[in-house]
Amino acid sequence: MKKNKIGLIYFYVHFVVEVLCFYFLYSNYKGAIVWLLPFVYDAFAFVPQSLIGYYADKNKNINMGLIGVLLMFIGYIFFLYTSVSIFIPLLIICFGNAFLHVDGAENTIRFGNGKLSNSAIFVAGGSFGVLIGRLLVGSLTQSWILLLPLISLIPLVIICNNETKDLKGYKKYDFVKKDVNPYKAIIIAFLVVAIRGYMGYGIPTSWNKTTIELLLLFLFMGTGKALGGILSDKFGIRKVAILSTLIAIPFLCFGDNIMVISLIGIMFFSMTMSITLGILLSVLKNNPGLAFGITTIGLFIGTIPIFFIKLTFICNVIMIIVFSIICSYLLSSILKGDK
Amino acid sequence: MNYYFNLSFIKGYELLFIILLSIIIIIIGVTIYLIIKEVNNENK
Repeated sequence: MKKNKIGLIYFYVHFVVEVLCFYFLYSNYKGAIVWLLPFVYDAFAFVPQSLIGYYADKNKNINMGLIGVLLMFIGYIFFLYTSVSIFIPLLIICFGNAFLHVDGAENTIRFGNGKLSNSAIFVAGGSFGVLIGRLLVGSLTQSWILLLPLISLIPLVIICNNETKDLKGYKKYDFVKKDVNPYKAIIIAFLVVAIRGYMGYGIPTSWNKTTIELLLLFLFMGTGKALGGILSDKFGIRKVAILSTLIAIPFLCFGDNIMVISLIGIMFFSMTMSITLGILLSVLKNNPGLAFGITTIGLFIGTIPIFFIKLTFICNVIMIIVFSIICSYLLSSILKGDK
Repeated sequence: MNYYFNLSFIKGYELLFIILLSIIIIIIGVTIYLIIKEVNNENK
């Protein structure tokens, strides 16, 4: 398989998964459950990934992707053709989503051979899927049509799992300084993901009002996530981690009303995604699934406050500046110097 | 600081919310145990 091919395949897998999930979520986005639904989704799609990932690490012959496709298929059928409580298809879809995420992470990491590009490209697919899933609500007349791209994932996950199951590329990630305590590295990576998760919702974007602007927002977010891994492989993870976090600050703070400035900030801001995964892979060398699951728990913990607390514009700006500087310092304290 | 704390979205679903939080806490607890176990294994 060619260098970034598996990353691109899982970009598509991730894209389809999120299209289905967000089409489902936004189709039911009404009434009393308007906040509870995304909260339950975040909880059950993100948090169990650590346990599923750990299980996948220990059982490499089990195709987690296939289980994920099957669960998503069942959940979506429940949603389309039954009148059971919305929480039943939601939970099944969440678990399907979690299995497919773990499958994508495991395969792109195993194939990555110490490089982050494939994992970063895989992660980027989600942003585009979230966007398209949201946009399809109201414009798609036949909801069952989304089952077709889901079915198209079956041969892809079978081929990719067969190609990568014997690879040991996950042992080659080595981005953390030798003298750093592994627990310290894990806590820092977790904190950075959680802060990033929270900040993502606090970024001032008054300019974002039309579909085209929303499209651009997700496009730049996805591109940033992919670039984080690609640039880290090219120029060194430490440089990219520190610079992307610091450069993003002025763009995020002053881009409230100016789209271009804000988009550049969002792109830089999204780059840390794969860097934190790289840190965790460096200290949990035999457990890529568990490492990936820690990032998704961090993301969930980071998004919890947005359901309960809303801050003002000034508070958000102060938070972006303070948290970005803290993240940049923490990352620079554990990441190895670039060659 | 001008902020508000909003718990209204769980109204009517309190039990579900408590069960959900309990499951999340258990999973996070097990994950912490697994991390400690695996870090110890790798440093042996």
